[in-house]
Amino acid sequence: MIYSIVPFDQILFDQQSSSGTRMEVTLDGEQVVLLQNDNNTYSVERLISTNPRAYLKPELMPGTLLMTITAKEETPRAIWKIMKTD
Amino acid sequence: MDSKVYFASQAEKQDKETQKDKMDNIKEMGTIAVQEKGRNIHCLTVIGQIEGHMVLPPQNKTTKYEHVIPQLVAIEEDKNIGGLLLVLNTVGGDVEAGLAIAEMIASMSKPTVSLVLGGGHSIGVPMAVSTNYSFIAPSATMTIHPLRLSGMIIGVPQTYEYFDRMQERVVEFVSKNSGIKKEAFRKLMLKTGELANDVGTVLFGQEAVDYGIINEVGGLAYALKKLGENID
Repeated sequence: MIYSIVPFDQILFDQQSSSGTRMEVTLDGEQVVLLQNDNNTYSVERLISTNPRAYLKPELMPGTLLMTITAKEETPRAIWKIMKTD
Repeated sequence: MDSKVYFASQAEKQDKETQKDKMDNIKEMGTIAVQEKGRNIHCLTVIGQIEGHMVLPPQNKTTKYEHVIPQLVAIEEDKNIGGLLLVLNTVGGDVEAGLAIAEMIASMSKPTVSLVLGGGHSIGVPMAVSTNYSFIAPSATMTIHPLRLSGMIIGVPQTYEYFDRMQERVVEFVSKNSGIKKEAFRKLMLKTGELANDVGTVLFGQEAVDYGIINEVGGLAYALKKLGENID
């Protein structure tokens, strides 16, 4: 049951255009939401943490571009690399 | 391209390094950096819709139940964390998820302070009052309105009764955790002439304090000062 000031038709209207592929990963011990870009890179969209210090880390700031290095078969975790825009 | 690499176990590695640094300091310099234990605060920011049983379409910005609940448990459990600052800017959302988060915060043993910025509407009201002490920015508003029906319903008196009971859960929680009486809160919910084409009330910063829902008008410095006092 929804209790909100936003009308139901606005909440439940499915606007496909704003969707992209998003995933939640743990980077540097913090949970972040990554948005997949067209050129096989990922940008940090949102940091989900209650630790205020995590928000000061440049690598976790929204907008930071990341790419994955193909993980070795024996490592279950993906390894991320920060891309410099300049 | 930067050669810095981040992976999931980096936090553990860093912990070990900090530990090693501390030991080195003691051995070589004979000093120890005293970390102020317990003054460390964590901040929970609530934005957009509160998402509970249903995943909302992507145009909604949401704060998810499954993210927030474990964070609250971790904050309560971690002895290095002294208190919680709850920053609210929400348009409402799932009743049960909102009440669940509010109940979790209300039952925490650590000091908690909330700050309403922008808006703390609908289910944001019980969340705002769930902390030990609450602040509202002078420009922030809180909309108090009745619960509404959505989708197809069975048109029988029991449906109305069910809604009334759901609404009562919100009224009960707010009156229990703030200075407003049940009757006064219900009156604000059902007031006419305040909202265009709708029933309910919009309270501005000072008004929310005058009604006893929020403790004080203030900002970040006030909230952090209060939290610090409560931790000490």
